[in-house]
Amino acid sequence: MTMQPLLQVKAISKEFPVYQGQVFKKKTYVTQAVKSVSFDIFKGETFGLVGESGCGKTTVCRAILQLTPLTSGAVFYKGNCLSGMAKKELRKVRRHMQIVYQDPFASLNPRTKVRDIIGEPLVIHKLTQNRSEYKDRVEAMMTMVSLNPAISGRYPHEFSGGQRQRISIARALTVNPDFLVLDEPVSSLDVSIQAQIINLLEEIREKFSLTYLFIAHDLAVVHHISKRVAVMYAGEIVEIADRQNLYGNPSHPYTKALLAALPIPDPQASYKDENAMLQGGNGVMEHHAGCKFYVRCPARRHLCQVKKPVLKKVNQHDHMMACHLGES
Amino acid sequence: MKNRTLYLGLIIIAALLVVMAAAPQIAPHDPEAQDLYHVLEGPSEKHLLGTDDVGRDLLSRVITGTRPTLLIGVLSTLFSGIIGVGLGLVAGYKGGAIDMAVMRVTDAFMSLPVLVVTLALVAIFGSGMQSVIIAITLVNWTGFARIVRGEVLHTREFVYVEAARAMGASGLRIIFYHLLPNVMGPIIVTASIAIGGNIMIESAVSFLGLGAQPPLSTWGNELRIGYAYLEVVPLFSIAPGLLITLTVLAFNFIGDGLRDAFDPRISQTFNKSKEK
Repeated sequence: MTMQPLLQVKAISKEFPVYQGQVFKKKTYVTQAVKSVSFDIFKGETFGLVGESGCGKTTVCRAILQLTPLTSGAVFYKGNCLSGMAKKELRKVRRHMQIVYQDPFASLNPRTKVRDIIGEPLVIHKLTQNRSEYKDRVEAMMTMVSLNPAISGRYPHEFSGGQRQRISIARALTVNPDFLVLDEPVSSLDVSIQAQIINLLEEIREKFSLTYLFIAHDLAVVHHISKRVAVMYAGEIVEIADRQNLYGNPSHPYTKALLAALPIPDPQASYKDENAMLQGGNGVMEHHAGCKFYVRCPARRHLCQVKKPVLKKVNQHDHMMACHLGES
Repeated sequence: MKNRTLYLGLIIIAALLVVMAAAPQIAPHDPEAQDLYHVLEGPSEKHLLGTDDVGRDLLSRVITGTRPTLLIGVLSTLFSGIIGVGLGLVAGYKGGAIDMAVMRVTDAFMSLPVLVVTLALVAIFGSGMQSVIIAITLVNWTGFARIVRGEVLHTREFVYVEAARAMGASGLRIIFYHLLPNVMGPIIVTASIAIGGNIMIESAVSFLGLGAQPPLSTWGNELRIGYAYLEVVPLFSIAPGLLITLTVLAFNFIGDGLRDAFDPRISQTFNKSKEK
């Protein structure tokens, strides 16, 4: 029995051309921001996507929401291909897929009152009949994310980062979406606020049986919230597994390094911590046939430089990894 | 403090509007009645500001000049603002080929000299205010278009614009609901400066006999003619000059005040400090 995934990402790639020259611009080379990334997300699960800054996480989420044109590949939502969809159709589908951005200070229009920010999706999709219904809906959303509806007449700059993120979440949920992309929703918040927001998100997911794509660079946060986790490096997925498998039995050297880099809440122990830190650049600009992680990999060998490893199963669970480790 | 200047500007403009509406009643003399025995006289009881080169009462001429002056200044700014802001928003938001096309048209219009355009329009429509207003509009909208386009290029990169797109907002909605309010500040400042500039352009055009036709008076016109007699009757050009300055200042006050009122971050700081 195979369940139909809610969202299918099939071999998406995104290239950014790099131009040089002042007058006669010439395309010198392309940056591969995302390279042949595929994964499925099933209804009701939280899919975590981790990786360091600049590895293409945000490009993946923008590509899924069709906010940036793809170089190749396709995204399917409930079996419908979004990539070639007509603008009008796409706008209707957008109602079901919402996003919460990383920076709560940039993602809210500074000239719009909170009630109109939260209610905007309702206006766009013409979901309320009259003003009072609109008001009720907005207030219900505010209450749900623990904001006092009495302050709905205020502007975004009057709120703290955590409150703004609650506004963002409320805005995303007003139209009852099925799928929510969370693009590092807590990384710009205080640790104490992070926990509140994470708990709020979990609560909401259970209440409305939502599906999340949770993007982060903090493995601890992802561990807390995700059911399955994919690790990205330099535009590619290097490991993808259930949470227990990934954290309990990390296979890829990069995943191991990431887990080793988690801070240990004990100064003495962390002083003795001898796990090698990653050094050098991330290899995005490297152009050789082999593994992108080659330059920083502690387990590298000649094969890694000449042959690109592909994602394949490493054990009986759906644990996949792209590494030559263990091959002869 | 900020709001006080806004009110001051509004009071000055309101006073000018009253003068404009009641000009025939306020003017002590017929602004077009010549008195060749009393030319270029200084202030006297009969003529509070003196008389001009053909013996017309200066005060009356300045008062009746309010109407064409304000009409040209405000209308040409309004029309050029509507055209320029509209094209600037579209060019900045759409980018690419559309942006390129709009901006090249803008460049072409920028190279037009006002006086030549006015000459051409006078040839078509005959001389008068409408030709001047159309001519100034044709040349002046480019300033708005360029400023708005630049601001939009900056503003559209904010995440809230992408967020609106992710929500399913249409292009029109993004332009008018998300971009326009956030580029309003520079538009208002440009407009308040343009009103003063346009009043001056009108005076240059009138001087060549292409604008408001004599005996109709405008401030720019009076200023230009009076300039020749600056040493004999200084008030001839100083009086309309001061009025132009006052009007431009008033529009600048209003512009500043409106810009702040449109920006919730500033207007609310003001309200809070008032509460204390």
